[in-house]
Amino acid sequence: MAPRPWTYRSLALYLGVWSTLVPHALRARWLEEWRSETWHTLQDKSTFAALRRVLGAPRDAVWSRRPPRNSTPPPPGSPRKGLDALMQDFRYAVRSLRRRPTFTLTALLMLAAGIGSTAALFGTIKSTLLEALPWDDADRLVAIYENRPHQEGRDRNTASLPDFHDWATRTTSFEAMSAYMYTRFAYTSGSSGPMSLAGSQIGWRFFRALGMQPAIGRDFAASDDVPGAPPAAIISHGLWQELLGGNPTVIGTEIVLNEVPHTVVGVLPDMPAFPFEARLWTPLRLDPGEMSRGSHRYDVFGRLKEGVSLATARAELDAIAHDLETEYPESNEGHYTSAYLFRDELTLGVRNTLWIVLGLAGIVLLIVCTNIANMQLANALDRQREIAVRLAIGATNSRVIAMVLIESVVLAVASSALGLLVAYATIDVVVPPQAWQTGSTIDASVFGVALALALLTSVLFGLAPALRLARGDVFDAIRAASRSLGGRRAGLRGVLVASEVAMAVVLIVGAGLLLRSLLALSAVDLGFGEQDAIGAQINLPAASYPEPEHRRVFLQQLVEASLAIPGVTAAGTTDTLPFSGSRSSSNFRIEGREQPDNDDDYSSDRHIVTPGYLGAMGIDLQRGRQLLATDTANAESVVVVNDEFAARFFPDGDLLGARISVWDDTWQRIVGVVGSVRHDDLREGARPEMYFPAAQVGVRGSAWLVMRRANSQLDVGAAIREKVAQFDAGLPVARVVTMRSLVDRSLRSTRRLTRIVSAFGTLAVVIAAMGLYGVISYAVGQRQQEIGLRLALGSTAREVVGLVVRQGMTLVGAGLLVGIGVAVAAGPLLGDALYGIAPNDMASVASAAALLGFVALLATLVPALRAARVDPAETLRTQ
Amino acid sequence: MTKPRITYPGACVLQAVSRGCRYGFDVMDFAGLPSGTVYPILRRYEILGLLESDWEETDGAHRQGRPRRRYYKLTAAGEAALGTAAERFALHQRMFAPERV
Repeated sequence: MAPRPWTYRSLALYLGVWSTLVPHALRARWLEEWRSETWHTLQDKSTFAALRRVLGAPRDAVWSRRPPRNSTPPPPGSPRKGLDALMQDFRYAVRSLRRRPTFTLTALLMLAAGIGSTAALFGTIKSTLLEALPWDDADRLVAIYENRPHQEGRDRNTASLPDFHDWATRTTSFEAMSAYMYTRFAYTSGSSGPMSLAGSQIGWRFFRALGMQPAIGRDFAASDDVPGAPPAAIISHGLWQELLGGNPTVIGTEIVLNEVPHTVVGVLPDMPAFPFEARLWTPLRLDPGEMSRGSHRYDVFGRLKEGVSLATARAELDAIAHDLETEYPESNEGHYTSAYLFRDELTLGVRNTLWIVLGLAGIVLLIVCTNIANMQLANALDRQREIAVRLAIGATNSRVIAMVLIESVVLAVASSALGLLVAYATIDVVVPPQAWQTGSTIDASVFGVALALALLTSVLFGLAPALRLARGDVFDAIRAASRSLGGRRAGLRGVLVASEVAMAVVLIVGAGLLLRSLLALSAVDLGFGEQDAIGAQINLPAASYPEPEHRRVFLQQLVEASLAIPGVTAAGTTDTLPFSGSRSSSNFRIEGREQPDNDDDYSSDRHIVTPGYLGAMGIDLQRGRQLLATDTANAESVVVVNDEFAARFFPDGDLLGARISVWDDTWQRIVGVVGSVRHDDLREGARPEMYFPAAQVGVRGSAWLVMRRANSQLDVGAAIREKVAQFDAGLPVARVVTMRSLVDRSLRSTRRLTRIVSAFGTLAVVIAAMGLYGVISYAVGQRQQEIGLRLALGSTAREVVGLVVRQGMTLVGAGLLVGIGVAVAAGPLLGDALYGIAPNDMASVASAAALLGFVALLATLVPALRAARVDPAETLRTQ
Repeated sequence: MTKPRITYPGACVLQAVSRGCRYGFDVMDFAGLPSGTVYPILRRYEILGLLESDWEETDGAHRQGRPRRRYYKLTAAGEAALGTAAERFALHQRMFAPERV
């Protein structure tokens, strides 16, 4: 059994850190040997044994730098003496750090937290935003969209097949272009019953455009992608392994998809393909000439020719869209294209989050550095006497500087090792690894960044005190050490604490804003009862359910059967379920009104539902009536619309009884108005919607059965799968989800960002409070004699506490003022992440300031109370 | 090159290798010394020509799904040094278990 990866990777990382000490020529072998032995120990013995053994790695790494003692003596002037001295300093530094465990531990932990989070962020950003996608020359991949005028502001919409076809044949900027459509296939060749597999229907140039080709078999050819061509499929490496046993002779075998036998023509290599969740690809087999320009269902992407810029391609696509507008004014008026780099599209959802969080991590690291500088400064003052003595007995300035510096370096190396563990543990927290990433996102460069940050921060602040000490006159220093604190240094420490407070305010304000956005988003009225609604996705294959009527009858029976499940109180079906990623819209006409200049002016989302759907979802009826079982094909055609539809197209309110038409020759009478439903994004406002009865307009193959359960504990998943199997043993249920979980998923990224910012904010407050406490304690210690004297001369304890608290709160006040200013100025950077709250919301700023002020007061009060307990007699005696 | 001076831990390491311990951690277990002592000795003695090391074949190890290991063995000079050391540390030989096969 191989060792647990996490344990091994942590130890391997640890060894990697120490290997930096090994001379370059030996390093790779050194690391390989240690890692290999560790691996074997983990396998043969225990984690503890491995831990104990790797403890010797630092010593071995240090030893590997020295020439063997028994070999030829080193030539005169060789660096051996220097190295020995260095080793001596190194040992001294470790001892000296161990003598001050509180300082060392605090500095280590703070640095590790700051460095770890920044390094993790760097790693995520590098692997997500900067590194190339896994396919050949993936930076030439461009996503292309067709947009219509009414899709205000959203310029990432699907294209119609004929439009795509015209782009592909007229373009000179693209090497290849392909349309594709997400789909699910019912796979019934396996022994374990029907399965629903994610897949994609694609144009035959799809894999050429993507820059990948099957590892076994062949790619699709033009002849596979024409109507009537024998059905062919390319499968993913994973599917090949799992369902077809990795059989190398799989090419040419038949698998049954949606009840139609398909010949497997290719197996993809073991690497991420696209769409990422897809496991099967089949050609579209459509004739663009036969398809409607009004049906926008296809995603499109293309591969730019070498040397062609995105701007050139955009200009060309614009020109083609313009030509199409003149050629097909009825369908294409106002349509325009947009094109974005593929990578940018894939990282659209995480890019802003990443940059925001990197900024926050930077602030936290800055607070940590400030605090360590502060601690080092206090430390250096305490050590002045020791250093002065060293200088007095003959140490050179450079030795003293080296001594203090090496201490910082040791601290830096140790904390970056710890920081890497922090990075390792948190790297996937900010943004989960993207589908195309296979390896770990922590690599040598992340390690390099961590180490560089650690060295930069701790050396920077180690050097200043060291230089100051070494420069000074020895006797001055000895005298100074026995005197109380100089005002200038106390002032510097005060400034550092004030800036920590300021940075903490900025973070806390950000956390507060995000928290309130999250609350506002959670409180958005969805327009349906998400708590007890459950959706089950079913795709009816055209082979067994060729006619809309077949599909309607099946769904009707399924609805009736699901109503028989104990605890199910209502059920119905829809073709587009909110928050499931499915959405359809149509243009329509209104009876008795002029046709608008642009077809797209009268456009609305549409849903094809069975009568029970509105009830099962818990969508409120506001006026008129629901859809009923009596709204059959023979009855008058009807439609129910939502209040947004009513407000937008019938502002006078006289819509009940009016008729609209979506399909050419039929008119549907508006019989009811229901509440608006949030469909995909909680931040998006209500859109006009129409609900058509399935019995009158025909049912598509892809459907959601929605059930309302009597209580939210009821699990109906198994029951509904059983019912479906009773009707059609070859039909898989693609997924069963609660509406609550679908809505939650849409909140995931906001929730994650809020959690991260809150964590950073808390960390910042704690560190700032620690810094404040340290400074005030130190000041109280220095002023002990003065305080004793005051008490002896008649000051009350209350006055002394007031004195100390005033000193602390002056610093805090200054920090708060600056912090509030920065927070208000920086608020807009959160921009899109906020909802329902202004980025400079004063209540958030005020509560953040109050919280920080309170924590700061506590941090000051502890040393202040201690000061008040000073015994005047004792103080005066020591004086 | 001057004749190497063998320390007590050094003798333990040579002894362990001569008795069939081939990997660093194996030597540690046999000699009862920590890794921070054993490895520097292995490195030093290799430079001094008392030991030599070889890497296992990559293919063989990977076929078994594990990383390759580094083997150590005594050279003729190492045997000689061990002999000298054995004289010097008379009790040394008896401390170890019978020779591994």
